[in-house]
Amino acid sequence: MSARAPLLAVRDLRVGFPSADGRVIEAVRGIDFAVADGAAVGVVGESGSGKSLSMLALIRLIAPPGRITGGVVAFGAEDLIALDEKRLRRIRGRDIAMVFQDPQSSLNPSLSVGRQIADVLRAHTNLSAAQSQLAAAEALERVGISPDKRHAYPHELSGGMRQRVMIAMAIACRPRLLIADEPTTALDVTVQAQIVALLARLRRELGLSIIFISHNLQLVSEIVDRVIVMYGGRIVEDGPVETLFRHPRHPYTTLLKACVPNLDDPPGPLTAIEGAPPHIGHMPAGCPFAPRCPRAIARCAAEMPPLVAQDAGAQDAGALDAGALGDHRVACWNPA
Amino acid sequence: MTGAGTTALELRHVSKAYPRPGVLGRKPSFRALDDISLAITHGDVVGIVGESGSGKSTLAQIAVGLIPPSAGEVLHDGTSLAVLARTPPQQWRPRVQMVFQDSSGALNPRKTVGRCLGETLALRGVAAAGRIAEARALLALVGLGAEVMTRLPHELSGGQRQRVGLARALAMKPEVLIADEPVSSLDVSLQAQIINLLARLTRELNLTLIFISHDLALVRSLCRCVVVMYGGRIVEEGLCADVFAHPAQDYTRRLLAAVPRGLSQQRQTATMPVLISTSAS
Amino acid sequence: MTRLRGWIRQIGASGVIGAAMVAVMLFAAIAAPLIAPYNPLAIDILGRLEPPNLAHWLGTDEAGRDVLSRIIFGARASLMVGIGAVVIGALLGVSGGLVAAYAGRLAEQLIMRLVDGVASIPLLVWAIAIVGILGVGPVQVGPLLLPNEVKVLALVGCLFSPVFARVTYAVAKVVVAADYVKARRLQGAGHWAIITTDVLPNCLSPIIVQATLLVAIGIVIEASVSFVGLGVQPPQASWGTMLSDARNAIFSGEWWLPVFPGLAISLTVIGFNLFGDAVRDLFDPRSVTRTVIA
Repeated sequence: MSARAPLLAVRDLRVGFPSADGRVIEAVRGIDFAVADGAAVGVVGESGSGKSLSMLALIRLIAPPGRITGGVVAFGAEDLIALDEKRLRRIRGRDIAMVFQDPQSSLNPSLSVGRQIADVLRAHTNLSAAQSQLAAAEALERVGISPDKRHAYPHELSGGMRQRVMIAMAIACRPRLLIADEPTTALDVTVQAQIVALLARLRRELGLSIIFISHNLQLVSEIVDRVIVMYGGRIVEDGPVETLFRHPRHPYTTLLKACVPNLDDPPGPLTAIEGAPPHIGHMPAGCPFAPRCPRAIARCAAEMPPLVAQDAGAQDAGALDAGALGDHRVACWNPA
Repeated sequence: MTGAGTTALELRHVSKAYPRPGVLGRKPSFRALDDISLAITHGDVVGIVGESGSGKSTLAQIAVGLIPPSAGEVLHDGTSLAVLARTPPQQWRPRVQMVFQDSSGALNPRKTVGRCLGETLALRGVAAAGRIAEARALLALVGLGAEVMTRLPHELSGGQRQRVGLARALAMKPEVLIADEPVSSLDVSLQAQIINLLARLTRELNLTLIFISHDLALVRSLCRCVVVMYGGRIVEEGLCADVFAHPAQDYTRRLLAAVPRGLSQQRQTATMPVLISTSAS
Repeated sequence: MTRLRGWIRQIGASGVIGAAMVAVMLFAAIAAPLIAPYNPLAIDILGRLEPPNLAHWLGTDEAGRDVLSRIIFGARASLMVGIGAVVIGALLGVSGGLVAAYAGRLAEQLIMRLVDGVASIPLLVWAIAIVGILGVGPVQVGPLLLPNEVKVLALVGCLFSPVFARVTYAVAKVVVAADYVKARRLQGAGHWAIITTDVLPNCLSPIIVQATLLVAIGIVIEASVSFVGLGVQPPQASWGTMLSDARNAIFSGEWWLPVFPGLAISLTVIGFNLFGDAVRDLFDPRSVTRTVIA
């Protein structure tokens, strides 16, 4: 039971695409979760699991022909799905900010980085040109870039620094929630660690809530309190990061964790998940992971398992604070 | 490198400098590689690790013969490339092949998989009649079904494209395979599949594998020896087991310390030394 | 049939319209003798300056010639110069651009500076000047006696080549740096094979769009050169000469004399532009998706 209302509560979110024959194919098939104020939540899954789409849907950035086909996204007191465009635009960028995967294509190559951060500030706050320049320099410093780099152009900076600039742009307006969509995937492993550490520090200093999307469970576990594992457009397991890491119950979570090699492991074949994620147009009936699952039983292919809380005393998954901080939920007929 | 056996690939005092024209006078050239000497024995699996800008990709391209070094020489199977270049390419090109990182356009977007493999086999001298069968065999070897033959690259997933790239390289029946960040653009679950595939094929086909990556954990799981690069120089080299357990150089130590280990360990984020930026300054 | 439907869906309504317009123009040019109602050169002094009527759908000009027939025959000159100039320009320019992108710094510098030189020549001014100098008589090429328009065609073709060279060079530079070209070099593929099977096909899309746009420009140049009397010679029909002859008609009220040739030029240009967009869309390999969702 959480005492305070969560910062963000998502219920039955659905995103679909029209297919050639007029039907709507759902890529995100009804997910519920919540993010507490000041919490960091990781969303983990392979490409095609719907993780990026769900988070883009939170702030309605789904590009047509895709569209949100259902659900409620409660941010504070407002439902972002139902909100009008004008008010949504004020929330986007100011209260909810987003950092994307490839800083190369997210930054304007013909403007200096300081100017781009200042532009964000001027768009969302009442700062004057001079004040926003100062605030931009401050934002750069906060993400660990020396302020005299503010006149640099994106191509003059390394990949890691460009990503820091993106983060500076995102936090410049002091958002309450930062959504980071695979922010480290295009970077070196060592730089990845730095960016993750930066996000952790910013979270402490600014009281920021974070949603961190990745395909790497190990990386995500460094910074978040709670992990949501998605597959085939649904949540298959979620819970506190310690629990998920030490006692994963869904076979997919176990495999995901195992296929990232650790430096301390002995050399040898890596644990791999055989096969490939299903295409959204060819989603199997029943549990989407069944074809690749080492623990699949007959029921798995026939029926979709519901997301069920594991603690006997916790509320069931359909309750108001679904996925509150302490819950551990699994959608599996044959969990470990 | 220690170990008996003939040298499959060798670099002797290889340097590569790119001139940088300045407006007033010339700025010093950018040294991508500085006096690299490396010898790789047949059958070995060597990892080359380094961060972006360390010169590892330049090293790969020079080793395979795509770019000429500014100084030093490159030897394939004991013969210098300068000498080999005067002979017909069909005699020496197939010996050392490369697998590229997918995101940088490793496959021609206009050619179907079947056509791509067919052309490669033609260059190896396979008769037209046998090409389709051999292409299918290659695809099976890398774990792809024959239905992929008629597809264009954008109709394949990232993992499938990497497998096709591997099949294309293997079509030349190489002795040495250089894999330049082959899994960096893939999901972790697919990375594991491709790495396992590389390991298996290296064993089965008796290849010499040079695996270039910024991911030390992957290198550790796959390679026997490792070469650590920084700023165009080799900083440390040796058996993986030795280098990773007891790094001799400071840079290697910091590199190892900066690798995330997940919840299993609390680790300090090492502050990395300033990298040579790949463009200005 | 489904393939055709697929193409139509890809290029959209504007593409279909463009393709149709180009097809009509081409048909008119090729089948002119069969479809023109009258001989375009047939003079009929008694029936001169008739406004559009049932006998002459677009009216007659000051010599009594049928405007519609002259417009149909005029399509020939326009398309010949437009398409011919583009073919010559493409042959010269694309090969130059490919070599510049592929062959290394020296070739690159030489070719692209040459391209800069030719590009600095103002197209229309030189077209007029050179034809003016060479004279407007027919030209003898071996056994063939070619009309004056061929000079215009050849000249404009040369002046078009820098555009093709630059477009090709820009795209080819990127393609040559791609990993798949490196892979081909590693396989020992010959330079010619790499250029023709790997580099050129991936440069085609912008080249084709450029080509169709330039056909439109070529048509306007032909009309302009004929307008000043240095292109198609009277009494042959050309949209440009028809416009030139109709200069006075603007004031004397015979509106059909300038309007229809003008319309012919405009519609042809629009048609080729739309067609160019359609062709570019068709050539994008990403639009060929055979694995469809559901």
